[in-house]
Amino acid sequence: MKSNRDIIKHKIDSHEQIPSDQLWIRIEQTLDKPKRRPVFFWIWFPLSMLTLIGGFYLGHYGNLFTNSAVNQPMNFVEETDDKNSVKLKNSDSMQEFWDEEDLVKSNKDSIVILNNENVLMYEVCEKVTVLKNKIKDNKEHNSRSPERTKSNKSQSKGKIVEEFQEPTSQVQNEKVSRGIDKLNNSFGEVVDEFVVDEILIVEDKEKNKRKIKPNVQDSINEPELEKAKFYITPFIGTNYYGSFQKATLFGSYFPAENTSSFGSGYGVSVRYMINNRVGVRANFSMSHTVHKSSLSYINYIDFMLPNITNLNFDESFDFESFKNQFEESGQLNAKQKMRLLHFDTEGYFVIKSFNSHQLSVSIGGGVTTLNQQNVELQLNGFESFSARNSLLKKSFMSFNTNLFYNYILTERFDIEASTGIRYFMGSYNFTTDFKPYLWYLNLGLSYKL
Amino acid sequence: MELNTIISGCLHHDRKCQRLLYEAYYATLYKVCYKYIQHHENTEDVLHDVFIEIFNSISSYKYHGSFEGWMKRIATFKSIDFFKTKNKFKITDEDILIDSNHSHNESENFIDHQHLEALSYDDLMKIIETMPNQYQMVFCLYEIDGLKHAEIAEILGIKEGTSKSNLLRGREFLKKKLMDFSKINQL
Repeated sequence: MKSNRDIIKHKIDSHEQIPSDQLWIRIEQTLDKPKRRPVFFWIWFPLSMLTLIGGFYLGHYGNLFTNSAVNQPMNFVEETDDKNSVKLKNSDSMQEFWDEEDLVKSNKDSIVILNNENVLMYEVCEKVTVLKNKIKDNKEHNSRSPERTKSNKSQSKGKIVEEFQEPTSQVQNEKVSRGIDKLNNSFGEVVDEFVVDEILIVEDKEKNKRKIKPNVQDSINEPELEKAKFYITPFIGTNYYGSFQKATLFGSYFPAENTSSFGSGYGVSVRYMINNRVGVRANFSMSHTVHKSSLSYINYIDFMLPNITNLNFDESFDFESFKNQFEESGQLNAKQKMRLLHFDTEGYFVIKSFNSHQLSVSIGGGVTTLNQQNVELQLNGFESFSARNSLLKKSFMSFNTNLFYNYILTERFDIEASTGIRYFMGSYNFTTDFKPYLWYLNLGLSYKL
Repeated sequence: MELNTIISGCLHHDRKCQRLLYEAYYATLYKVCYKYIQHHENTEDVLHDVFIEIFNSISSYKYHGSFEGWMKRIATFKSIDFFKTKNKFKITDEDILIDSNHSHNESENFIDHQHLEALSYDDLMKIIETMPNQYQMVFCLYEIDGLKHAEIAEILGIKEGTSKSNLLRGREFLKKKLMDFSKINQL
């Protein structure tokens, strides 16, 4: 016996329902809609990974100020609009900045740091003057060290100038020079020019502060001067290939139009900074370039492709057929892909350095090696075919010039963007006069060793 | 064409096979959807989504169990979602008054067969359509789709007891309507 459920199901199942054509059309339209490509994923994912990696480095290394590096004393010195000045944050910093007791006991002349039109530096100078007087009084009282001969002393509004005699010994000379470097490193572009006697920078490791004192011999060892800086910069970039070309063909000439496509490149550079302004740089890089050219048949005279361009084709290549196709097509387009290895050395010069930005130039030269190249030839209306040019020169000299922009992220890392041009000296094709150049744009991350 | 061949064709997005599948199962899936939606245009809207879902996720059918059952399940869930959205009701346990006098009789023969047999498809659908929403959903899931109370409770997010109570009241509603219908026919 059937249950109620069976009866209800039977009634429903036995009812005929004709498929709707309209509904099917709607379904078809929905199925035919192109699916959205996950472009967003391929954009946000790399960006998010770069952000994560960059954030990790900044978070981990961002506060990594070691005592061994001589940098701006961040605790009590800040930059001002005037590139040649710094500002002490508050009056209390004066006490930190200058240890009065040590100075008095040291029985040495104090140091005057000169800077024009800097009121705060005037305060430093003023403090120094007070200290100098105390030292002087102390000296007179104890009748100790002979006074240094002062050649001149002048005072004007906003500054106190102390001039000392020129250093008389090599040791003094070196100390003065090192002292200047120390001050420059400490304050950046603060001090323009000054004359100092002896400068000692003492690092209070307990308090992680720096004090600039006169040379106190007693128990304070002069710290080692900062070592020369090495930077290593891996980079990636894009390039554009062009050339100046004149082709010789059995004594005749035919012009070729040259175009290019954007290629890619990557490499690593090592930079050695002699000082804050001058350095040398060595680059190892690889460029993938695409060079396009076209040959019009109207200019073709006894065109013997394998002989003239030294292209090696497959054994199945039918040259006669190719010639006929060339005549029919009227235009031969060639796309030459090359992989170039570069080694360059350059002189590196810092033009301008302010806040976290640095602008530099370099000029140099090197050697380029042609590693691999394939030629793709296309006749309009016909299938393309490829060949290899086996008789190209392998190595040739080049010179280059570059412009760099560095943004200092942390003490050890900075982002480097650069652009430059590399001009190859001499042809690299035996049968054509071919002088190419390479323009490039690179982005890298520089690490200070 | 065999069903496996049609399924294989649909896997490869063969439009001809998709059309065959559509024509073969349109009626079946229409009825599944209509008993919840009770409106032709809305039913076709849901059916459109059902077939799109079937064609897009046909690769997840692993040839285990009935293919028709798999499609019906998709249609049921799509219909329930639509029903909930359109009617904006929610079956809660508070809606059901616990009446101790009622026996939760789940006997399958709650209505006289003769009355039920005399009912046409359209009349049956009209009665179900007039059923209160909370009874209609449980009634259809149990009586027509053959789901158990535990399954219904999980789908609707209610207690199993609530499902049983709703079914009981749905049956009583149908019975009363059927009685009225019979009286009208006797006139």
